[in-house]
Amino acid sequence: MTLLRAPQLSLLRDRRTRAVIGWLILLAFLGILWATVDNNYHLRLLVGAGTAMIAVIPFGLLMGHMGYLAMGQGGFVGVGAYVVGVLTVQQFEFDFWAALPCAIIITCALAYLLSYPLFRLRGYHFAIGTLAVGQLLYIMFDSWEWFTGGPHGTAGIARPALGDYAFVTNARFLIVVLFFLVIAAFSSWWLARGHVGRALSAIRQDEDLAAARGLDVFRYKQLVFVFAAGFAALSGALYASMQIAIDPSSFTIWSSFQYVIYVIIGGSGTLLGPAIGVVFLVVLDQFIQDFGKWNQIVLGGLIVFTVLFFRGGLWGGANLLWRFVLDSAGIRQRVAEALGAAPRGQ
Amino acid sequence: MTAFAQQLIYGASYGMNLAVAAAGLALIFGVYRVINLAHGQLIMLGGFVAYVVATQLGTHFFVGFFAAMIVMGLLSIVLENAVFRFLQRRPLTDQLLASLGLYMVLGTTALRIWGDFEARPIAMPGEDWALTAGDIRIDGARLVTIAITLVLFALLYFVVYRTHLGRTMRATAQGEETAALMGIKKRRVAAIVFFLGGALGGAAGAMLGALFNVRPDMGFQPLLMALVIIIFGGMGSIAGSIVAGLILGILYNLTVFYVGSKLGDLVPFLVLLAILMIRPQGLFGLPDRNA
Repeated sequence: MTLLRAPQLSLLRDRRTRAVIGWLILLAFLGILWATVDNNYHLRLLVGAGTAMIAVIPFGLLMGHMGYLAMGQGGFVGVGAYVVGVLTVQQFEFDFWAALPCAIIITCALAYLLSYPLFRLRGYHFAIGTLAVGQLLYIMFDSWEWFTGGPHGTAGIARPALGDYAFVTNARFLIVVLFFLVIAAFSSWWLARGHVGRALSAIRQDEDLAAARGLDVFRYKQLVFVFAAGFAALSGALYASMQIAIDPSSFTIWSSFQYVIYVIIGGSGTLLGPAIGVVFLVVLDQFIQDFGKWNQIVLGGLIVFTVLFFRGGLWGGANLLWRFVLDSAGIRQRVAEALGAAPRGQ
Repeated sequence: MTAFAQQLIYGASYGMNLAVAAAGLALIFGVYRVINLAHGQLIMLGGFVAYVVATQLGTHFFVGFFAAMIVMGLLSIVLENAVFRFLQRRPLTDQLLASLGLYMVLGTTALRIWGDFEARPIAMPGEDWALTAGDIRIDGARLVTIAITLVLFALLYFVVYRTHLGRTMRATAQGEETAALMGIKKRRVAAIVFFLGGALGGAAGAMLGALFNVRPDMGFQPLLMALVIIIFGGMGSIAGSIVAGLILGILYNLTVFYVGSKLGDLVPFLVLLAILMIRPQGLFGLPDRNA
């Protein structure tokens, strides 16, 4: 039976193939935008979306694959941004490329230390504990004036350069962002495909059982938490460089919620879903700006709707649609008949 | 010393207000197992209902206060029927996110109507007199809010522990399936729990609005405080909410007074992290609860 299955069709139905196709479509979409957009405002949106994706894709591992809802990710993004801000401007005048690893290392160290108390918690307790961490970091950005510049923030952060080639314009800066985006997506994929991915899935399904079967649950949780924090710092550093000036209002609880919203709208439990969520919401935001200040209602309603009726998010919906098209077009039957075999049961 | 005593009482009155807000959250969580982030906006909308009824229509404070409780209780039932009903068996991520969506919808609606951030006061009995003992001077309004919260908690205690209704609620909290098999109508229990929870939120909003003016963004801080309180007190425990609310309110006020307002904002989260590390189940929570 298995041998008689239509090979090209099983390829189309395969999850991994769909993910690859999805990534190619997304990259093609971004590439076309990059090539066609000449308007600086739209380029800036594109850079912003790429920066957000760098934080969101690894965060999706934590939230979607592992099922731990962290509501303070904006705080880690803020630490990355402020370390770069402080090192390049306020105290030391580092080069961007020197400040970037410092930002990532400091944030990872912070996440490593925080993982000990936070992973004593689960479920609601973990969500509210991370919320507290996010809010603590925000208050620190806002009140630790000699370090962060307080409510006025830090201004004059340089854009990076390689030799003589400075990534000053948004079009050039986008190259840097896309480079790191590829790294973020690839390393997330690499983590998710092997034993770490299986461990995360086991933790999501039944953590006690996984621990009882001998899995060092805490190490895996810690690894993913630090991994997500490191890319959050990277995203924050790029954000600081993109904005040139940063202030605490970019790293509130709402920015943390934003990452959660990207994941859930795009489709949690996949790597591509969060990226699609970013693109969708950035584009949507441009359209609902016409509603003036009502746009938050549209967004809030969309979240409720997605959670209630559309659990897989956009990517899950696209997959359903894909299967529906394959089935209803009868492609499956026709190929199977041509090969003289009954279609495989679901 | 006198300043200390004064801050102690002000902190207690703020803490009691927060405890009322948190009790609504705790009640819903205890029976229904859902954390309703939109509770913060019920607090805010409660303040606005009280403002519209008491200040704009010119009635007595208590008319506005009860209007806020009833309207928010009904709104809460509507939310339960429209959204939370479908989320009871879903992962907590979904519950938190759906209530976050509701939070945004309700908050933006209020911002569209009252978004000019004018000072919107609510007149309250006790505003024109103060209790003085030696150097200590305490606003009557603070004492009135403390009295109101005590009455509310007494009523809540009576309903939950001394009536048939309360017994059905507690039975549902212990085991929904079993309670349903015993003939307890779970849809009715859910409606009552959400009504009480929303009404407590509305009451907290009316009192906070009377003390500090009504603003469209006034729900955020009490929501964060209430989240801290229900973890501090033990998830779903009403007694825990009162104790934790009092401790937190007093600590907050003392820090703001003696150290500065920005560090005061840190207090609830430092307390929360300390509690989570030392006793994650909270003051009155059971250690084996796996929530």
